[in-house]
Amino acid sequence: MTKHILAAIIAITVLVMNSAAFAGQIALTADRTQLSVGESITLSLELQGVGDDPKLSGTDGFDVVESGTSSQIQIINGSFTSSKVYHYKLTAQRTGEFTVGPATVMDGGNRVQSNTITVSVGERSNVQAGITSERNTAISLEISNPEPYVGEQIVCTLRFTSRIPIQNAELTPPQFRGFTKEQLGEVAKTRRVINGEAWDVSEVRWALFPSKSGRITIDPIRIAADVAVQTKRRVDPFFSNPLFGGLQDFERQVFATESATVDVKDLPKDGMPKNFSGLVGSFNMTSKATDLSAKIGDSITITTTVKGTGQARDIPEPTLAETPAYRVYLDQPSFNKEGTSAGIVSAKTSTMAIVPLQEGKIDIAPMELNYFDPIAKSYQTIKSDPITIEVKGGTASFETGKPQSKKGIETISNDLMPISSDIGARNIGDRTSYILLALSPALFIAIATAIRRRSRRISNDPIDIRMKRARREFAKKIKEINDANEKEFCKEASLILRRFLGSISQIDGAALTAREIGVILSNVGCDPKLTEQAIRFIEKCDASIYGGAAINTKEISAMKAELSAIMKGVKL
Amino acid sequence: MKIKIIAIATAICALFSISTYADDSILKNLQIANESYAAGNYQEAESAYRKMIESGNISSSVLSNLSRTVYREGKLGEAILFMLKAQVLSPRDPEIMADLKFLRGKVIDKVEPAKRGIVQKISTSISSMLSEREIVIAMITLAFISCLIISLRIMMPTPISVTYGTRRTFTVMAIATSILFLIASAQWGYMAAFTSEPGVVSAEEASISSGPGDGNVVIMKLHAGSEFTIKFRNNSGWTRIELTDGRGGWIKEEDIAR
Repeated sequence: MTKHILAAIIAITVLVMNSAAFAGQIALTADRTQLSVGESITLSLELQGVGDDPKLSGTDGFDVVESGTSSQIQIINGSFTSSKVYHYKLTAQRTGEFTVGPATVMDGGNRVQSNTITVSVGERSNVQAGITSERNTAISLEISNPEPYVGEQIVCTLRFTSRIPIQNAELTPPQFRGFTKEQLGEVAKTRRVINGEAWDVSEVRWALFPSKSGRITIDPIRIAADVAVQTKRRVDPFFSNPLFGGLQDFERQVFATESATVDVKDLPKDGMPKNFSGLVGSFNMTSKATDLSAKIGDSITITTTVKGTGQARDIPEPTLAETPAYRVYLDQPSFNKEGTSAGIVSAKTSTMAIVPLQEGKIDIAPMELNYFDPIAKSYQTIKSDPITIEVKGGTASFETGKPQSKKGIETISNDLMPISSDIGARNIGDRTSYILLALSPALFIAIATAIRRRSRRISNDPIDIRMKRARREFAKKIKEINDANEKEFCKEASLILRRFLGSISQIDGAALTAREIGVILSNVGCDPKLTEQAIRFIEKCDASIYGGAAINTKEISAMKAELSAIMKGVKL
Repeated sequence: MKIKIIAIATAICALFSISTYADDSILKNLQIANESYAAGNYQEAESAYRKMIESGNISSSVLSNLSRTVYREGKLGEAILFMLKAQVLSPRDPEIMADLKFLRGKVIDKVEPAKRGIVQKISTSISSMLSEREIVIAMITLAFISCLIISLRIMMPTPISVTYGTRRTFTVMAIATSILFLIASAQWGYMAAFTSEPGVVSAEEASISSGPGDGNVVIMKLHAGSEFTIKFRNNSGWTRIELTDGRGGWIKEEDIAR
């Protein structure tokens, strides 16, 4: 009997132990605990060794969608465990702090509860600006502070959201007239779930520093991209299978933001220090020396770092006046910029070398820097810690040869060139005169060609040339003939004809008789009638000269014409 | 003969004095306009430069100064137009090139240039190095030199008195100068016949329509400073334009820089 009772107790204990070992576990986890209204979180509820059909509570304020289950089997050290995971998608509907859970499940009459999760839901984020169920893309421009001071850093965020494929996106670089700008890093791409859908979000940020007061408009910023559109083509289902990359039509579209205005305020005049540095932001300054004790001639480096949210390059150089006690050598400052989503934090580190020239104490006065703090809306002055250097011993027999360090020349901005004061290149005016001028040298060629032809002709046909020359010469003489006196006329006319006929025959024709003229003309093949006419002419002239035959004025004119006709008619 | 020489010399002196007087007059007007610019009276300066252009006193300095003036008045389109015209007169001027680059950097629209033929490319390369005036002077000089050489070659006596080598040298020189003359003439002819009038958008945003008239479809929008070539102007206040990438349309006359 005792043995039976003992065995029962052991069995029950083992069962209880085993049941304890296999006691049901229920655990609730979330992929994140902070989100905005409209965004979703994924809850996973793992049931291990408990019943089924869990109930999730604490979901007020969320839209809950069950998104399936998964099972898991584990064998560890011979023990077999199985678990089932339930997945839920919770979409936040309002802001607030929510306690999600616990989830409960009935396990053989026992109620098993999970843990709870605290979820924080904030205002609908600007990621969702412009997103509606009808649109596949949205573009927006956000300004961190629409009413900054002159020189105060603001952050401009361009956000492009899409739920369809986009490729070859090209951003038209914005001008940001009226601002100095710095891009904060590269384009940031994320994927977010909004209203239950996955959206690709691309953001690019710029830190802007307004350079003038007043209303400044930021022009719309444009992005051109190829956007997937519903293909109109009939596509083979094999090739449209997403496994093979799919086929889609893309259409080039341009997206533009609205323009944004920034009302830039002037820095207040009240409280502005006389030597205001121009810095706007929030800054701190540190200063340290490499050594606080040195010998004469040693070099001590003092490094001053100013760090803050303004433009590092606007930070003025620290100054330290030289005294007979030491020399100061300035080094080139270094700049460091760190772009964060909140803007640029920049630092300027200035280094100077101090060389003591005599023993004693060197008190390096604190360096001061004033700036305007836009958050405090007042001018602030910060100072570095004072530095005292003890100088003992050593000699300053040499000029410590650190030359004045040089700084690179910085381009502050670009502008047009100055206006010209000289005339410059003139325009061409009327083209016709230039065309005529360009064609005029062709005359040279024409003249040269004519000269060349004439000389060739002369060398090829001397008789012809001689004839023409003679005709020209004697035609001129006929014009000059004295026809006032009949005797003189006859003398000159007969001489002209005689000499003409003589020149074409290359003899002196002055002494030719009428008969000899007839022979010459016959020999050259002249027309017999013309030969007869020439002979009669000479005889008539001779009759008048030597015989006293009378010739009246009418006859003189006729004889002149006859003489010209004879000369023209003679051909060789 | 003496009288002829005196007459020619007198004509040359007269021409020289006229041109000198003309240059002095331009310089004086330029100085007045520049003073207005320096004093910040940009409207006055613009008016003075435009008056010089209307009276025929066009030079690269007048055009580039007018460009800088209208830029100060916020007229980007006009600024680019006048700077383009200044560059035509003085293509190698580094200040004009720098300013054109600066102004073009302000333009929002990006237009990819279309591919050009080899003739166009060669002509454009020459135009970017030499102004029309320089090409014409080169052409006239080459015309005189080549005609002179050809004339001497024609009149050259027979081979007995002149060596064959000399004749060949003259022949080669004649051919070479003639080819250069033809190239210069072809370039000038191409520039005169095929260079379209440039245009620039002056409005902040201009609609480009498929046809002349407000009832047509707007096919694209251009912004201040965008460059195009003017193809045709009709009488109803619309102009046919073409972009460098080959796309075209009709734009309102009032949206074009003048």
